[in-house]
Amino acid sequence: LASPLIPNWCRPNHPLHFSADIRRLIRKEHSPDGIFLNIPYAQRYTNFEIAVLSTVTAYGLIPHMAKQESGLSVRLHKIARMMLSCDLAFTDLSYAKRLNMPFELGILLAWGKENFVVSAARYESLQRISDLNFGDIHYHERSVGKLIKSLSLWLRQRYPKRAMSLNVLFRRYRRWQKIRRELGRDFDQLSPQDIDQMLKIAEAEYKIELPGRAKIR
Amino acid sequence: LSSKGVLKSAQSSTATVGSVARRFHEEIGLPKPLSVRLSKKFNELAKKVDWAVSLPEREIPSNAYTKRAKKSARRTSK
Repeated sequence: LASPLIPNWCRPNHPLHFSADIRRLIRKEHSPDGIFLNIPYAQRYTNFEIAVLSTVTAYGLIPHMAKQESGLSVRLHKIARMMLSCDLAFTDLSYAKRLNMPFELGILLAWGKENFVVSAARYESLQRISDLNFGDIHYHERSVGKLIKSLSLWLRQRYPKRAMSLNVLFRRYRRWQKIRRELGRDFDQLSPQDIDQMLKIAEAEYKIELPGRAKIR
Repeated sequence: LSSKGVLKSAQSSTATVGSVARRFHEEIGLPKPLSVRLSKKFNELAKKVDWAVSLPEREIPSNAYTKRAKKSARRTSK
């Protein structure tokens, strides 16, 4: 298992300075299957959030999101720790007015994380950040189906042995939505990892069938 | 699979609200009241939906030819 890159060149008063203890913790938390989700936290993004979560967990990945951290530590420091413990990242630049996503994308790129970048409308992000002309940006055009399709293609290239059909992923997404609707606010308050674990227990205990993932774990 | 390609019902669950809530609490570390609430909701959901009854998974065709395209291609060749 390759150990993650952990910046040790920042001075102690720098916001991204990591003490020896924290560096040890990052090394312990690091997982090649970890994926950092750099996405907006908004009510109108919920369907996309479910689409991303249901797809990445179908591929056996462990999603990490900034909203799951509720400690008192400085937010950026916590986010940076989370980024370092993942090898992959997903960034959605659809919300042009929010600068957190492009800012975090910059950090992820600087640390050499493999990124899947999407945006809602074609060339919209490039108009604002022309530096992003470096490579592929995928456009979901505000369609959950298109997002699942392009994300799945990207994941399929990385994990060919875990590949599954789009039908499976769409069914999985619909079931996640059904569960989310039934659980209401309780679902929204859980971290992605908690949701993943909760669904695994529910699958086993209540025989709830969630397509995908079965052949991985 | 039944003759119509519909998955037969899975074994009925023997899980209880308490046992599942305990797993949520012990394995995920969720607070007890939340674990109980979630377990109750899952219990209701499991009763309401027959998860096992669904169409079998269909693979996406590996090439671009859909059934309709193949049919039309056959028709043109005749």
